[in-house]
Amino acid sequence: MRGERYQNRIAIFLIVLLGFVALPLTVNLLRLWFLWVPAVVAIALLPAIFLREADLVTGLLAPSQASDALAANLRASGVALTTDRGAVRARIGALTAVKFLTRTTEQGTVVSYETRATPAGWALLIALVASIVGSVPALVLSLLFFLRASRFARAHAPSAFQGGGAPSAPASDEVHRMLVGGISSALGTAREALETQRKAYTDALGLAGIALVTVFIAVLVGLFVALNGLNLETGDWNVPIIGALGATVAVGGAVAVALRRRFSTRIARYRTWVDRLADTFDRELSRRPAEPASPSTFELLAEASTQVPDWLEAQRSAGLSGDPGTSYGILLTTLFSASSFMYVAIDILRGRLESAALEAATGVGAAVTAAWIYRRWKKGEDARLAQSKAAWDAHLGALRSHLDRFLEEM
Amino acid sequence: MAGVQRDRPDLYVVARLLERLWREDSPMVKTRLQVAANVNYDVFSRYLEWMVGRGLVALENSANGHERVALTRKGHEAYRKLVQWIHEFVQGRMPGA
Repeated sequence: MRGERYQNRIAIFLIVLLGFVALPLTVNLLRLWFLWVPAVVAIALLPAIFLREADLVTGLLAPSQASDALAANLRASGVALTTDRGAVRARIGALTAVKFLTRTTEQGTVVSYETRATPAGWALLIALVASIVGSVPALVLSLLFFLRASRFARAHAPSAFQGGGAPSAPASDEVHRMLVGGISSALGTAREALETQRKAYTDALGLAGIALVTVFIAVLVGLFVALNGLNLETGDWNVPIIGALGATVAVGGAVAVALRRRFSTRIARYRTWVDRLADTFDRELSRRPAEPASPSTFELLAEASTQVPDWLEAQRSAGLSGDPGTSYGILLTTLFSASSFMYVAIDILRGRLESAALEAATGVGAAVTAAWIYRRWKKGEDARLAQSKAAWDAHLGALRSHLDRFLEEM
Repeated sequence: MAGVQRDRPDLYVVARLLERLWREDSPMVKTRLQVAANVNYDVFSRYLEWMVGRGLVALENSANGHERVALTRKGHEAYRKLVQWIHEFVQGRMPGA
C-alpha cells in the first residue's frame, strides 16, 4: 500500500510534469534543450528520492515503544533529533537528515525511513535547481543525501527493538497471542481503509486541479472569442481573465465542498478506529492494564469485527485509486483530451480552423476513450463489491450465531 | 440487563469480566473486579451469580475476610473460545471453521 501510494504520487507528478511542462517546452523551446532538460529531470527525480519510504526492520514492540527505544539509542550515540507524533527525525550532518516512521502490520511493528534534508540542505537544493545550471549538481547532491541517509537508517533501525521497551508477549500465551493478532489484523485493515480513502481524496483533488485548469482556459478562450472575435492583437483580455477566474473559483469551491462532504466523515471515522485500535495494540504489547472505564480488548475486537466489511468496502470502493493501471489510463487520456482542447482554443485564436477541427476530433476521441475505460472498470467493480459484501454479511452472521449459541449453551 | 438470570446476559459484560480475571495472576477482590468491569454493584452481583452458576468463575474466601473471584478452567476455556472466534473472524476466516 505504501509502495503503491508512493508510485501513484510519483506517477501522477511525472504525468503532470510531462503534460504541462515537458511537452510545451519541447514544442516551443526545443533548441534550448540544454537549458531546461537538466532542470526538468532534477524536478522529476528529486521527489522520487525524498518521497520514498522504505521498510527497515519489524519487531514485536508497540510503535511508541519502538520509537522511544530508537530515539534513546540515537541520543546516546550523540545524534541530534526531534520527535513528532511517533516520527523520529535525526540530523546526520549539516545537510542531511532521516525521518524514521513506525506502523503496525500483522507481522508486528515496522520501522521505515524517508530521506530528508536539513533547512540548509533544502535551501542549497532549491537554489541549485532554481539556478537551472545547478540542476545536475542538485541531482548528484540528492543522490548523496539518499545514500548517506540509507546507510545511517539501516545501521540504527535495529536499535528500535533492542532494550528500552517492555518484553514481548510470551509465545506460550495462546489467548494473548490471539488478542494481539486480532487487534493487529483489525488495525491493519482499518489503517488500509484510512490510507485508501486519504489517497482517493488526494487523487480526487489532483483530478479536480486538472479540471479547474481546463475550465479556466475554456472560459478564458470562450469569453475572448465571444467578446472580441478572433482578434488576438487588439482584443481586450481583462473581461475574459476576470470571467475565467470567477468561473474557476466558483467551480473550485463547489468541487472542494463536494469532495469534503464525500470524504471527511469517512476519513474521520476510520481515523478514530485506527487510534482506538493502535492504543489497545500498544497496551497489549506492553501488557499495561486497561483504564477501568475503557472497553476490554475482546469488546473492542467484537465491535471492530462489525466494522471489517465497511473497511474492506472502503478499500474496494476508493474509486480508481485502488486500481493504478486503470487510473493512469484514464488520467492520460483525460490529459490528452484536455490538452487537445487547449490546442483547439489556440488554433481558433490564430485562425487555423482546419487544425482546430482535427484537434477537436482528437480531443473528443480521447474523452470518449476515457469514459469507456471508466464505465468498463465501474461495471466490474460494482459486481465485485456486491459479491464481497454478501460474503462478509454471511461471515458476520456466522460469528453472531456462534456467540449466540455460546450464551445458550451456558 | 435487569434480569440476567431470566434473559440472556450481555456477552460484552461477561467477556469483560472473564478478560479482567484472565489478566490477573491470582483471584480478584470482588470490589476491584466490579470497578474494572465498569458496572454498578447490583448488575455486577447478578452477573457474578450467573457466572458462578455456570462454573465460569469461583468464589474464594481470603484470610482478611474479603471474598475473591477466581477464573475456573471452564471460564478460561470459554474466554479462549470467544477470543478465538473473534480472531478468526477478523483474520477473514469463518469462526469455528
